Amino acid sequence: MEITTRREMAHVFEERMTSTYEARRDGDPLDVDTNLVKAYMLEAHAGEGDRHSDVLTFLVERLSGEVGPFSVCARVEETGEESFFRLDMPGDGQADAWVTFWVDATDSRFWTLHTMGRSTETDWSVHRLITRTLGMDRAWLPVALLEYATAHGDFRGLGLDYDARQLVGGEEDAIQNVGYLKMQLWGNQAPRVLKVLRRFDAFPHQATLAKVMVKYWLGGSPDEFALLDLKFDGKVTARGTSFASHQTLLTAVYRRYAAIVRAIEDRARLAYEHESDSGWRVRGSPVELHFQHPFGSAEELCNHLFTAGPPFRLLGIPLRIASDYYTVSAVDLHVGHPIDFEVTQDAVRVYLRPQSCGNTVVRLLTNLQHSLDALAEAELNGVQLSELEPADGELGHRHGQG
Amino acid sequence: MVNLVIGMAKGDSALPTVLHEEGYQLHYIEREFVNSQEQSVTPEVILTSERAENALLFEWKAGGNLDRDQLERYAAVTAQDLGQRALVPRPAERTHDVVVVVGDKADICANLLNDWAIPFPLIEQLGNQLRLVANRFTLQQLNEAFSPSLMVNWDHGPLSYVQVDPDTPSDVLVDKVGRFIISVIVKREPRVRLGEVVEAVLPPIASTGPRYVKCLRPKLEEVVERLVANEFQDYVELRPSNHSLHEPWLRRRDSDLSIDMDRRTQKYKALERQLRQAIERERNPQQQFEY
Repeated sequence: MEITTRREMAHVFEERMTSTYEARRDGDPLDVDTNLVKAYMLEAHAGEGDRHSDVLTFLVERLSGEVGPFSVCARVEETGEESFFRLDMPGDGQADAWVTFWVDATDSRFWTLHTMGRSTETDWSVHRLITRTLGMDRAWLPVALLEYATAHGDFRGLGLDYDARQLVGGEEDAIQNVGYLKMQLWGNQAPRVLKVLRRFDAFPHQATLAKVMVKYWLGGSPDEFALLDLKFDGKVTARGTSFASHQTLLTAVYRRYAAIVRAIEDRARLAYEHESDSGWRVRGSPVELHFQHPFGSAEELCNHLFTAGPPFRLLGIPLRIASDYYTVSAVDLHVGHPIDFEVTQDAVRVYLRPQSCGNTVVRLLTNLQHSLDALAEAELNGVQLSELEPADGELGHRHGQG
Repeated sequence: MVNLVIGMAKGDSALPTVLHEEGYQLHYIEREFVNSQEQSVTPEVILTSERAENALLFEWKAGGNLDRDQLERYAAVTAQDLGQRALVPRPAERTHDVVVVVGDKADICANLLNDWAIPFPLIEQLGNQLRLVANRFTLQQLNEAFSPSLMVNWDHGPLSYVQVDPDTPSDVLVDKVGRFIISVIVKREPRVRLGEVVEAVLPPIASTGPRYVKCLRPKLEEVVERLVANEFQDYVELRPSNHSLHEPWLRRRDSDLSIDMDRRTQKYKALERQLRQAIERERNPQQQFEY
């Protein structure tokens, strides 16, 4: 079936969700994981309006093979609907292996890329897309946002992922303090296990939630459901019987993420207001990140953060102000804008400049949770990031058992 | 000190919260206005609290040298001046204190204020303490907070609300300007006015008073010229003003940033090394650096 509308996509994807669910349920030996329905939450700076033309221009200029040195050699096609595009990208670097994504850019900044391609190929394509394209990044989901997803359905499984080895410079040092923790658990006991691991006498600083599996029902019927795996890097895989359920939970999490990013930009960006005669004001406040850094100094933390490479993508030179206090005038390589930091051993202040992107803060927090402290939190004017602008009740209640 | 006062008003978690708790908000930095006798004053910072019905006008003296004429001009400021000329919102203009902060010679300053019959609260900055040494605030809570002293963790206080002033060391200016030029290179902007670079480092520079405009602006422009000529010449060049751009501007040169991410990251790191070299050279002009 040719896909030209979101409705047609939903129909085709629901069939795939059902077949992969049944295959797994029946113990089919095929590796169904590679064929699961997937979605990637990607943030693109294609304008703040909800305009089809802005997104199309962005796709053609930045991603198409014909134009631009940063091109990812993609083929872009419009469909029969506004803000809904077909995007074909090379799957694994081979000329004849193309992967198809359906780009839902209803919000011209917060896109969802739907696909049924193989994980190895789609992951590779998305990675290439992000690292080659100025103005694109993943939607990073910190622990609180993954927990937000679990609160809306049945929490059926989890993945933990903590790795401080890069920060401490090798496994030997990390062994002293649990520098690496990876774990997967599928089953109804997931919340209980997580609770145990988070006890103060267990591994509260290392038990970083990286993935959650949630069973979600949109309506009252227990036969219409989706099993979603939501990962901290914005990738979602789904199986089950209801694409609408998958889409609803995905959208709820994504809207929450978007609300947080926009709230950061509204309240944290420093704005210098001045009038013609004299005097000026500063609006906005820095975001404060707090954590425990069991391994080392502020200098080591700076060396970890400001490498210009992924995942932080920050370039800057730490200037020592005092023992254990550095300031860094940095460039956020995701968008190319200036951004400033003050770094101590257990806190980072982030000063967003007028065009800075709120995504930077969420990216920083999420990746610090995975490489430094699972309990790292961010605050803006005393309000935790996860509490900024609560979502407006699209999923206001927990749905039934099944 | 400007950053510290702003941070305290905004409730920074590393700083004492008394100003924030009493509802003080940043009103203006370097706002010049005239008093009822048509004499000019320019407090470094004005904080206002509608809840406390009070405004604080900060004036600090690094060397502890008080200027009687200046203080008498402040003494002639009325609630009406604050409301109409400094635009202090009602009812915060009802009462006000001019807060004099000194880092030295606090006893001498206290005697001078006494001799001149000037009732401004005098704060001494001594190590990690801010101590009220003479006179009183209108708000009792502030008298209690600064007596005997308010502990301030200077080492972790915010520094980036206002990044530069005319006394900022040149290596810091090089860092700030260099960072912005790298940002221009990363974004592959075809052209940027010299003034935009300066305003990126200090956005309200035109409203910060003559010392900033006459002293800091030329310094920043000179740093831009130097960095473009010596460090980033492969990526940008400084072009003279022309009929459409009435000031010098940065033009992007074609460069090979059109490469894959790994190699591009290496290029970015090379840019950073060049900037680091320029900063070191600024700190140690006699020394030769090789990277």
